[in-house]
Amino acid sequence: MHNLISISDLSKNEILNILNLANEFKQGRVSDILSKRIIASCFFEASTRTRLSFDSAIQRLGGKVIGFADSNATSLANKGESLSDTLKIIGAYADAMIIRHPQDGAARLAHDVCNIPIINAGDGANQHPTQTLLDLFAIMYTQGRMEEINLGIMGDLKHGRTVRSLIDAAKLFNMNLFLIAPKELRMDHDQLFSLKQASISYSFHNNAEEIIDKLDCLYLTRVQRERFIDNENINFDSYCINSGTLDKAKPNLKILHPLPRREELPEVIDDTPFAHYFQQAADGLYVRMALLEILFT
Amino acid sequence: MKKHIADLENGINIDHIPHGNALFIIQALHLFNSDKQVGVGLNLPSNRLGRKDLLKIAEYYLNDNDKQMISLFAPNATLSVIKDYKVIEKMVLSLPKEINNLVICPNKRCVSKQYKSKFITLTNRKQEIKVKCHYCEQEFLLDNIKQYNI
Repeated sequence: MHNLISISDLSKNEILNILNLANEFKQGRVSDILSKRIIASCFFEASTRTRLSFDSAIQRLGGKVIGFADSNATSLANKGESLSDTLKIIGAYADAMIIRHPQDGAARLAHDVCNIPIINAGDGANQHPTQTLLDLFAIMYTQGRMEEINLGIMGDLKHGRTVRSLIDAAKLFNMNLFLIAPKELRMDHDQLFSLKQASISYSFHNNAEEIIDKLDCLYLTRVQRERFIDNENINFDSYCINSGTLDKAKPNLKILHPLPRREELPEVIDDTPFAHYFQQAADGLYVRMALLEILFT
Repeated sequence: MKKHIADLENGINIDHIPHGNALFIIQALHLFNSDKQVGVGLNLPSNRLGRKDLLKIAEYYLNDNDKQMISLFAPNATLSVIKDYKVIEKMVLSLPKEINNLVICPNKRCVSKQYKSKFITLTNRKQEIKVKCHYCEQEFLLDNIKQYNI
């Protein structure tokens, strides 16, 4: 593996290798595989967890980080330089690039114009493959298995890049999907057809209560209002959970969320045994360490 | 078969063009301001398509790139090469696996809007032709593509 642009670039075995190595890092594995390496961390769009966990992962592996967290300070924003030219030049200064950009496909563009490994840290509404890896790690770590998980996904299934990537990965592990979303925010027919082709069981629901007793994991997402192009006026109130939602939950249920959260996941859930989202985000460090080690091995 | 447009002495005949797309092909081949004689049939009856367009272009031949480009507007169209009033070659156009810098990605957020576009072709569950953007990974029905770099 030399790049990670889309979760569909990875085979099931490659994903499992990353997750198993992440578990080793969580158990205390030490590596200096990035010593004498410089990694460009290029965040053209705001990020907290992804950027800082990558920076931390690089430094824990002995590497150095260059880059920016605010593209307003670059020639791209101030001197009218094209994104393509900017990426080419950064590619000449570093041994690998981690890129987040608000436009769909920006990471693929970086891959096409640079001669160094590229890691997509989120490109518009398209993909966020390292988030998916840490979502999968949370499933594996909390459930002890990956196959035939009953996975509920609630919220914005149309605009969310984490949802798109997670559903792609769920196909590899034969998960059973319970999709909880308003009609306007469901996936399109062809995406559903691809689930059928992969023999993945899926069903649609209007609230989490009706299926909570079946779920092993419930993945919540934030409404991506900033990505709505056509003023979609949707009432999202029924797609938030509260402590009552979890009355009939199985003891092994874990609630996952890519964060940041809003009204869909109130703080009252934080103190329940079902909350796993902060640990999920914290373990992103180990997943990103594993990914970087595999990339440079 | 009814004759719609006068016979060609030399040139090409493109038949079974989905109706409405003949003008795209004329534009793509830059024929509006050329010295080539072009016969255009629009909205003609067709058993296969219901309605079709047809083009006859005198003293004009297509290279492989032109054929690939035309196949985007006229998948499964029939191309006949004519010399001395006789058809010397006949082929059914087929879509290339990859389409470069021709389709403008309908995704308003796609990075390719500022660069060269690249699409792969595929078919969906209903055997309709779709194009998938190399950059944003979104898939679109070919019939829904409205903007081209032509």
